[in-house]
Amino acid sequence: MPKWLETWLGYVPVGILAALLGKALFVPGGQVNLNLVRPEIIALVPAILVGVKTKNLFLPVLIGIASVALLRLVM
Amino acid sequence: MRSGFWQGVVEATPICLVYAPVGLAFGVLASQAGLNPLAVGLMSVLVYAGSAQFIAVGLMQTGAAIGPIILTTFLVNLRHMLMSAALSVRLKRLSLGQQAVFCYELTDETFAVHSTALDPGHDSFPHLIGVNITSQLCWIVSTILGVWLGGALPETLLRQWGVDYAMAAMFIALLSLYLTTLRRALLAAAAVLLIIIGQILIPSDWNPILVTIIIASLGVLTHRES
Repeated sequence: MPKWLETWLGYVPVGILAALLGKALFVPGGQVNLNLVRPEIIALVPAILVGVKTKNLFLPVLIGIASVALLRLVM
Repeated sequence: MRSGFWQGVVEATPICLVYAPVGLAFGVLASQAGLNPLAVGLMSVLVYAGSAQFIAVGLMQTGAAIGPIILTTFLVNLRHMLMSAALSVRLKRLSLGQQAVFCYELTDETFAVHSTALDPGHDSFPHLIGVNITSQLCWIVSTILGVWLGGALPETLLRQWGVDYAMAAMFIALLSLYLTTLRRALLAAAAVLLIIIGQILIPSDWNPILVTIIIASLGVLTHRES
């Protein structure tokens, strides 16, 4: 495999995961929603911080879901 | 050999802790998309990849064509090829058939266990496969239970619990693994921006694929050897 292709493939996960996450968060149900003050967007902050910090696959899921549930309760 | 297998079963416990909630959430989504327990069970046996299954069902639900479904799930799962490649040196000891069985059940979570806690270069095949089989069983059971849960509980309650956020939360966790530098974080932000712009200009199920090609190419152009 040529070196550039290997490098290119190495960037595919960032591209596809971010694109699909962006679609799920900002295009819910096919409609663009750029309102940032929503439980789904606010919950992104603690979840991604914990994810980047710990590189753990369980904690961000738990924190993301718990944050959304809590925020929906109060917002 | 027997103790090796059961040791693997025990080591899979933390993986099951992740698969149970995410699998249940996937089953709920699949039931809302109209899939029956058999279809979901088969999907968990044959596909066995949380992110790909979520995306496939999400696209089916909105009536996407087969092309974007196949290519999107292919791109989502392409990272497993890189993982298999990373482990390949240590898998040479196994026969080709054993390697195939091992790689079929390789997921992000089992990869994490295999590359840290376990050593595929030294651990016995039953030990390795004990981890993998237990993990997949947890996934199959929880996804099927999720279909039943989705049919039994009202949607408002599931929403209240944040079950619909499981897919986004899982993608956040997976993406976090790849955000190792500021440059990569900027590439991720650019992908989110492009997907929004694409949706406004030309809404299409091909957009995530197109965005991925652009971002990966931008990655190569700005790549620095570390």
